[in-house]
Amino acid sequence: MRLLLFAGFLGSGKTTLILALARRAAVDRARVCVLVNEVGEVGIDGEVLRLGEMEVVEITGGCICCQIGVDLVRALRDLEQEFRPDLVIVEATGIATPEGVLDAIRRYPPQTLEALMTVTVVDPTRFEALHEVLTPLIEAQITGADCLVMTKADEASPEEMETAVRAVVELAPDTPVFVADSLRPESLRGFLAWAAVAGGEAAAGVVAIDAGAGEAAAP
Amino acid sequence: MSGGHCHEPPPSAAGHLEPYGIRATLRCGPSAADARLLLATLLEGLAAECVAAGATVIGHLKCLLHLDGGTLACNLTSVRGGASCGAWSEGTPAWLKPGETARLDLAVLVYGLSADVIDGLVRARLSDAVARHGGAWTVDAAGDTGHRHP
Repeated sequence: MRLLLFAGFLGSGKTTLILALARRAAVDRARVCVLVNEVGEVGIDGEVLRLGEMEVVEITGGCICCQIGVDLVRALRDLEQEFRPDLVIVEATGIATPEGVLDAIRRYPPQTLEALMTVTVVDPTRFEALHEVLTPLIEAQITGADCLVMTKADEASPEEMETAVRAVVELAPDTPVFVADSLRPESLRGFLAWAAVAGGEAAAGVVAIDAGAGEAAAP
Repeated sequence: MSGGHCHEPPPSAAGHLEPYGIRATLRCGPSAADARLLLATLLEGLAAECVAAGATVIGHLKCLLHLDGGTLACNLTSVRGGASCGAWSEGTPAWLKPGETARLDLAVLVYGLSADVIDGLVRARLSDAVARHGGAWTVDAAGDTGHRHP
């Protein structure tokens, strides 16, 4: 079983990106499960993913990075026993740091995890403002990532995108950065190619994609 | 594992976040209501009022409206950007029919306001939005989690 952790601030586009990735994986009939953590009691993202025909488990009412990590470990065990998934996607709350969630995930029996990678989703339209007032959280989310995806390329001005990309590259110079535009599904090629490697055969829906057409901005 | 060791980042200039959610049943009045417009108006009005009440960061306002025949989703991440609404399947009705009931799930994640303050703003906006169509609404569940994130 491989695991992809999705982090990123509230409203950055994690659920949308997960839907795109899971749909691609499903094309190849991979068994994909999504585990959603929402900080509030009223879960919205889990319902959205279910409407997208994903197999979803929700953990609500707290943050798995600090409060209910034990629920995450229990959910992962249950998922493995019930569905034997090839790929598990964990959507963290928008206020979680990857480090905190990974700490909880690592308590899962390590022999069952073949790979564990973190994707952080960044909204360039709000990056500057959020970075200014939520500096520790935003920087922890960026520096804790194995891959960064800048979403909302169709909404961001060129200046907003440039500012955000420059800042994340400065914070995480060795981390690949992809740019995604919801109006151009082909802009996801680069990220999906990366995910195919990170997620192994489970994300094999990307095999038809030319990795050379990726949108990696850096490095 | 829960409690104790915690990886929360240090407190930020934005203050704290008290997650708020509400599940409500809306009943449309004698005139039909444009469901997307209703949701967009609700979220945009709510976001503006959160800012006016002292919210430091609009994190995410998001909701689902479960209609007879489909589900509408709507979300907002900034006052400037406004609300974005869409249906999850073809054939999802765009209108709430007169007398129709629909379940609304709404999450409000903003920094700098207590859940009590948010609750007051949500109830006022919901009443206003539904009253325009002569409808009514009831709360099925509401509140916050008691989780405080810096």
